[in-house]
Amino acid sequence: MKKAITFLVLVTLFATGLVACQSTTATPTAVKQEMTTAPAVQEATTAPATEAAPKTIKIGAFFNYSGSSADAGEIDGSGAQFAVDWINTQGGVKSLGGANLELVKGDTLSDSSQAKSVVERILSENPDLVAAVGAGGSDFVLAMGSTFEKAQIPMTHNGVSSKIGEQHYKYIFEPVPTAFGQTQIEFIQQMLNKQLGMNITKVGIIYEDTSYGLSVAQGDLKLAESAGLQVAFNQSFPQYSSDVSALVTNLKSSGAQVVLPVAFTQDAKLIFDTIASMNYNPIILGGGAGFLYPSFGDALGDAVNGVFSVASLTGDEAMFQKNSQFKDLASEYEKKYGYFMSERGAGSFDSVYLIWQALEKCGCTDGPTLASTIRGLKIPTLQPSSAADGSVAFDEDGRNVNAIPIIIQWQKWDDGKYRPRTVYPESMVVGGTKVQLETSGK
Amino acid sequence: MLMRNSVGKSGTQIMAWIIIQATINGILNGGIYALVAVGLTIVFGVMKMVNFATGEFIMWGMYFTFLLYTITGLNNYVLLPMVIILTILLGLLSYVLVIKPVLGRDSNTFIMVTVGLSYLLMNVAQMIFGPTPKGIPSEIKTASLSIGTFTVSLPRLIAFLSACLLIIAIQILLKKTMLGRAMRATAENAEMAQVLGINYKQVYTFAFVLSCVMAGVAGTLITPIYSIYPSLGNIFKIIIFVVVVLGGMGSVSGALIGGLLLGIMEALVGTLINSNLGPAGIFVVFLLMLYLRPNGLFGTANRVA
Amino acid sequence: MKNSLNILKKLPIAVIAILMVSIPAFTDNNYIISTLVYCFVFASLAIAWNLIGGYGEQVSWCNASFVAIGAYTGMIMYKMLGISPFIAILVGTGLAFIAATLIGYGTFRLRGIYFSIATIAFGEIVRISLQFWQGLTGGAAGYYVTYTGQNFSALMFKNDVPFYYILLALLVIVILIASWFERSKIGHYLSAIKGDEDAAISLGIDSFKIKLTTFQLSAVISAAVGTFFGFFIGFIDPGTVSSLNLSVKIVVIAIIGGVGTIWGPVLGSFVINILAEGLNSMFGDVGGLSLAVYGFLLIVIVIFKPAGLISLFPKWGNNSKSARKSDDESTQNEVLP
Repeated sequence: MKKAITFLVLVTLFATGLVACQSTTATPTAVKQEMTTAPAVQEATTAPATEAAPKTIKIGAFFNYSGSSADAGEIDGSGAQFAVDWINTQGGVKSLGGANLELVKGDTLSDSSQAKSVVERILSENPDLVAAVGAGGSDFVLAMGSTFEKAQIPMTHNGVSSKIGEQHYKYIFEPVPTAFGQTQIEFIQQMLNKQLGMNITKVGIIYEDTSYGLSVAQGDLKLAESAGLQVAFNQSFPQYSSDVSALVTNLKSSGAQVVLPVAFTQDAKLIFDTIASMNYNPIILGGGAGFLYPSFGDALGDAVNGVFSVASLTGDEAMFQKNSQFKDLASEYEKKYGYFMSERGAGSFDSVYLIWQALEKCGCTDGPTLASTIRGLKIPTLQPSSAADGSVAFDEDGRNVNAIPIIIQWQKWDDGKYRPRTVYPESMVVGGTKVQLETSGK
Repeated sequence: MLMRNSVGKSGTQIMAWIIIQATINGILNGGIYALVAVGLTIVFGVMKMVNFATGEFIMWGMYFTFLLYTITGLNNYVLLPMVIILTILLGLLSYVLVIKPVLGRDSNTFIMVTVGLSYLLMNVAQMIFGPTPKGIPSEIKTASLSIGTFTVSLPRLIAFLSACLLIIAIQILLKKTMLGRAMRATAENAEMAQVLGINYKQVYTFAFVLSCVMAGVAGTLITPIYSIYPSLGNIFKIIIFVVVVLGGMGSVSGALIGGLLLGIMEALVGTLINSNLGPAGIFVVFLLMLYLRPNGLFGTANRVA
Repeated sequence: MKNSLNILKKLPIAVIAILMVSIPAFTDNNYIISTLVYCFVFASLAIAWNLIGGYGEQVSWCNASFVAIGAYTGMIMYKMLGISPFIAILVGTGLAFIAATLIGYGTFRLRGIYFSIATIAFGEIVRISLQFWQGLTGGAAGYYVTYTGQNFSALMFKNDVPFYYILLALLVIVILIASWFERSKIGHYLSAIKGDEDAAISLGIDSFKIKLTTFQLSAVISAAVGTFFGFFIGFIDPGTVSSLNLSVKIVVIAIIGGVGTIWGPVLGSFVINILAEGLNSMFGDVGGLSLAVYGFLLIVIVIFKPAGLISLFPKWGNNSKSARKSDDESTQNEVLP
């Protein structure tokens, strides 16, 4: 009997402990619909339209800080943190009394089945959370989306799957482009074939079997054939493979002149090395992800010179064309973190930047108003855009219809280090940068 | 999805080339699987436990190599003896803190404790080294030998040959030395071995640390091939368990043959059918073999030799 | 005398039951509700595993496959055919039944560790199949259901309170099933098989059939839970839901809680889930720290509480002899102390 009482007490303590852990002014996420203004201030009593401006604005950062995708998560997180720090040095949110931004980390542990509980916990611990950025990938955005939608908290993310927009959620925003495959194919046709006079007819598509790999590869496949390119080989492989010789053997036999691989660093290195070891010299046009990471450059050393990849954006001069505010960002970031500003780092910077701009514009912190403000933004960000002024343009489903992907090529910069550089499309290329064919296809 | 035809050769010629190249690739990979599997099978034979953290010892072998490289600048092969020393230390530490306290308990306990150890090792590595994949520059990482029209990756070949040498050395150890005999006796019947004066505690320690060393050595051998990152163990973990069971728990030759067999099977299925199904090929073959021989190829319940 | 003892024994259960049922009335915090839902889900899954893994001592590493079958069936039938998961659950459990039968035929000839690793192989085959069969399951891109507003038959709710009650009710049902199982003929035969399989066979017990039936029951329960779990988390993919990782989590919960008991897995689920949440909350800022501490605590708990945490409550832990059994009788899996 005594033991049973102990058990009871323990269970009650657990439950009470959880409740007590939360802020005493916990706003139940469940009933957020009924509220018109989120209590951004703990100290505020009632919530009149002119509430006291908050001292800090909290933004949740939901990335894979641990687990098997922690390498990407670290870069994601650093971009977001960098943005927050930079914004605070710019004076924070002036229209809210100079309130500083604060990043609240939500580690999604590389496990999408736990993602929901992570969001719930962060929202519960931070009822004054105003917005969120993320995520580890489209799968995580899909896993977390409905929770943000129900809580009416806007989230900007870097997922590239077109499926996200198909959900017609009102609180999820996608500043990055999705048409990767299209840009890759265009690059082959317009740049490699037309401009540089190569005669590329056969391509090979190899991709890791993940949500990211599938979304890029499917794009490639559809467009390649309609563009008159023969897809000589098309196959996926398990992520974190122990060996890709089987794949590369077949790829080589197919005679593909351009290979479109989609993989993260570990597999990208394996693919690259295996291709090289088989005396096979195709042009490599990566599908983003690992082909853009600093660790890829480190892993390949000099051999990375000349590798192409598609990307949403990268931290080079092209990024700052439309907004001189951003001029020194990349060098400051690299000084602070020790690696260059890659696609993911720039992407999460952009996500935070958009939220900041929306906060400035509306001077508000409640979800619905903030969300519609984000939707209405027409400002240039880091993301390359089809608009002349470089601005974003969000549609009803949160997609940035102006976003365009770019093609980068790893090149040697003036300081002797290898970094990606924007080489396509023409509109995004900064004076002097050229495609270096000598280095690709060794 | 089979390859598309290249110019000039007949279909069967190409098929034959592909099969042989795939077999070569498979044998090379199989050697690495076998190396780690031998360590695992010895632990199972002697201690009747499965070490769920095996993959993490491979990973730590790679990180040790990386650390030593950063300090000395020497290539990974030269660093092997020092890595072995570090791995012995790690293995001893793990044994004393994690395994020893649970000796005498049932297999569930060992599973739990090594699952915990695997989380611990993986995440401590991340905290110390960071999650970004690391690499050691290696002049030979893309080097390959050409044998006729076939390509043999040099780092994989070196790993394979080293693995074979080590496995032979282990066999000699088990068959010819006192320690080896003590291990086999303990594996056969621990109580009897104790009666015969064998200090089974030392045997257990040795067996466990030996398996850690083999995993660590495998790690060093594969540094030219793979990036080094905390969750690398996951790539090999499942395959190695399958190899050990296929070969017969406790059978070293079983682990060797099992490793080669499954390596070949993975490569053949991956090349001829679909890369994604390579691992599935392993599992299907494994299950079929188990159906025919429920104790594995060479297993007659807990033999170490 | 016996009657009053029984009532006294039942009293704590009743109090806990009342407590659990009324928690949503005390708090609006969706995080607490959501965490408790995870606790209920894994408690049911661990109990289901325990039938074969604890009572039967056949350590299965593929129970996540059954969860995945239930989850995918539910979501696919809803998205493609508009059928409510409450109906799809019948199909999901049926498919899991078939899967368990196939796996059982493939593995129950094997003993001990051979059986266990074989279940890993089967689990991986299921995962790879789900991932390969893209047309149906979406493959690695995963499967999801979009929230379009409150809809009970589609398991879409504004907050998680309905899930709380559904999964709590399911847990109660699972506990009752496990209770029945323990005391039933099949439960006793299984116990005999666990003690000494050859002796049991020589006594005329159809070992294969008993193990298979238990496995099938375990699979069916897991799939049922899986159907609701899928809708609860909203997004599933083979690498997460049909993974060895998830199977390991279930096994960890059952063993940490206490195998061979009913309340062990329940306790294990609450402790592990709440512990994990606590660790993430405390150490979430340093990448990797919360998982490292988690691993460390697993080791510590196992070292100090060999029969599982339920042994803190002896009255609750000794329902079957299995709790004590793990300490003495030698099986081939024993190592000298």
